[in-house]
Amino acid sequence: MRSPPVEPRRTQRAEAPKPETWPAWATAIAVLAILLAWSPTYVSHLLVVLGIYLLLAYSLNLVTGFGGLIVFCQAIFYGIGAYAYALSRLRTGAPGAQVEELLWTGNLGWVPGILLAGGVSALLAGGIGWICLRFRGDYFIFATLGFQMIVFVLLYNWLELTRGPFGIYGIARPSVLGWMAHEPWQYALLTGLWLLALLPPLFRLYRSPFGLSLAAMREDERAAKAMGIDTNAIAVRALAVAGGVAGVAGAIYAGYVTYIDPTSFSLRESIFILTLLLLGGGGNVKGPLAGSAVMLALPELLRFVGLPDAVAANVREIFYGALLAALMYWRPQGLAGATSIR
Amino acid sequence: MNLLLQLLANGLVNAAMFAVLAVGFGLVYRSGRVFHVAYGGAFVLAAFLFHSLVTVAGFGLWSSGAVTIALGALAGWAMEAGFYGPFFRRRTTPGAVMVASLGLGIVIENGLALIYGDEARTIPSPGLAESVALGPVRWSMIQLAQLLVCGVLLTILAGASRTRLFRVVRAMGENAELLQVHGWRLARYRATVFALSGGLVAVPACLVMVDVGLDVHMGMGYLLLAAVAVLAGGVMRMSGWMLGGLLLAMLQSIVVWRFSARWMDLVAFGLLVVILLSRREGLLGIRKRAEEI
Repeated sequence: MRSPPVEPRRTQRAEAPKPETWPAWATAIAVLAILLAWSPTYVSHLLVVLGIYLLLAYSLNLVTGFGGLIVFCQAIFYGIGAYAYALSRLRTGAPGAQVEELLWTGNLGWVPGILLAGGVSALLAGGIGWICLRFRGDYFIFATLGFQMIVFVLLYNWLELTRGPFGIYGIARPSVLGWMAHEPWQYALLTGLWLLALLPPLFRLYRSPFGLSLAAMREDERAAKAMGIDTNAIAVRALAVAGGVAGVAGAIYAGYVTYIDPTSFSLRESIFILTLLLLGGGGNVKGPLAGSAVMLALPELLRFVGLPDAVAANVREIFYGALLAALMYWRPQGLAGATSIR
Repeated sequence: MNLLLQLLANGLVNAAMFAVLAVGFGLVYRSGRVFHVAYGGAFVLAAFLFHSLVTVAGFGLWSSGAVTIALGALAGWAMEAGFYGPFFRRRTTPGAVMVASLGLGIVIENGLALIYGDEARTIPSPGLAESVALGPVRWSMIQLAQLLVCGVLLTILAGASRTRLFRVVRAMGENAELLQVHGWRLARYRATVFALSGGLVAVPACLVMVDVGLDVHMGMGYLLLAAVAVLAGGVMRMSGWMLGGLLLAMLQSIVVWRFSARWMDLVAFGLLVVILLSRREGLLGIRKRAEEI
């Protein structure tokens, strides 16, 4: 029997000089400043969208990148967050006649509204996870897909709760102590603040014993169980956290666009979020960032190339699809990910 | 009551079509353990090939259908030769193959959208809309054609389940490597299965195209139908896939009768989750030990 090799990795890493990251950061900030000076409205809009998708990709990363569970219902956590925020703050905005038709509307403040959105989504995600985690593999994927379809039908057809395809308009904008956001750059700033509040704890979770347990479950669930990890319990918790963060993303989205309808939270959106993560790769911090940047930059690039709008959407989708297939063949861990899916 | 009978009659027609769809999906899933997401793309591809053959090339409906089935089989074979086969030889994990297949489906769907646009296409066929009354229910000619074609096909498939090909399909799903060790040409059988799946999916594709028409983005819905039928009925047996198709179609009729078509997805997926929770192997599935999966 061979003796286990001495692990030299940690000492080697300590000796190697840590690469400086500040030039990259400085370049990024400089580029951003130039872009903002060039077209503040457009770039701010892109930043808000990027911020929302970063929240979605990083939250899904906890479950799919670390836990190794492919989830096809992230869009409903996002959507439920958006609806919870919209309804709980409707009376503070410009509700119009729709208040009479709706089962429940509230007049919460901005921060309580967002926190409520996160909480409701976290509860929903935990509940769905509790049911779906009786399965693994294809069956788990299909169970989450089933809940995506079920909740979508509810959002679309339960008119008293959501007004279905008519959507909810006049959703309250973010406002703190009498000040209200109107300009895109203000939204970009507020979105940035939420990222600052949510992402560092999430990254900490990635490195914590909890994140490592999830990674152990991904690598070999039976071994993880043998080590005393209650894999079902940690996966439910991971899903609840992912759902909560996605709910906050939904709330930011609702406050930004001020009109939502269920079509923004369909199966296609779930596939898009999953593509975002798988393209960039999961299991680390770099991957989702790379994926979100590529997926969101591509349509803008195509726009600048001058493709007519009628074909641009299809060309973009073809590119995503082909890239996804090519990555799965040559680089299943994605552009910058640490792990590949099974 | 007459309405219910009529809806059940419509359900029976849909059941035959869903069952054929489910068999096409199930064959690939059962044999290669490939979650063939691009099956939806194959469905739409066949439907639009058929549309072009009828409206552009000017063939008759039946001859176009036959050519479409042949082309669908060719497309299925090409998918294995050019796409799934390389993944299989590389031993890519099932999850990654599923994601790649999703990518392929997106490429097919949007490639077709570039050619045909996003609008729904139909085939004008005045003769087929006429209906005949059989007792309390009325069948349109196209419904009768759907029932007849799919019914004959399902009978043939059920009868063929003891042939060598289908036994190899089951053996592949159990242990593909052992099959190779015994000298069976695995690559050839995989290609055959994909060609068969591509040919089968072309049948409901043509029939739906003649009946109500399609747009290029509807493949996902039909893929989900097929997958739900296979999982609910039980992955292990072809009779299970067919039963799943029947169940879904009848459920659709009953939901339309009692509630409204808009709750269909909720009922179908709710039922799937309940079935999987209570009987993971599906209604007609075969229970396995954890080590065998």
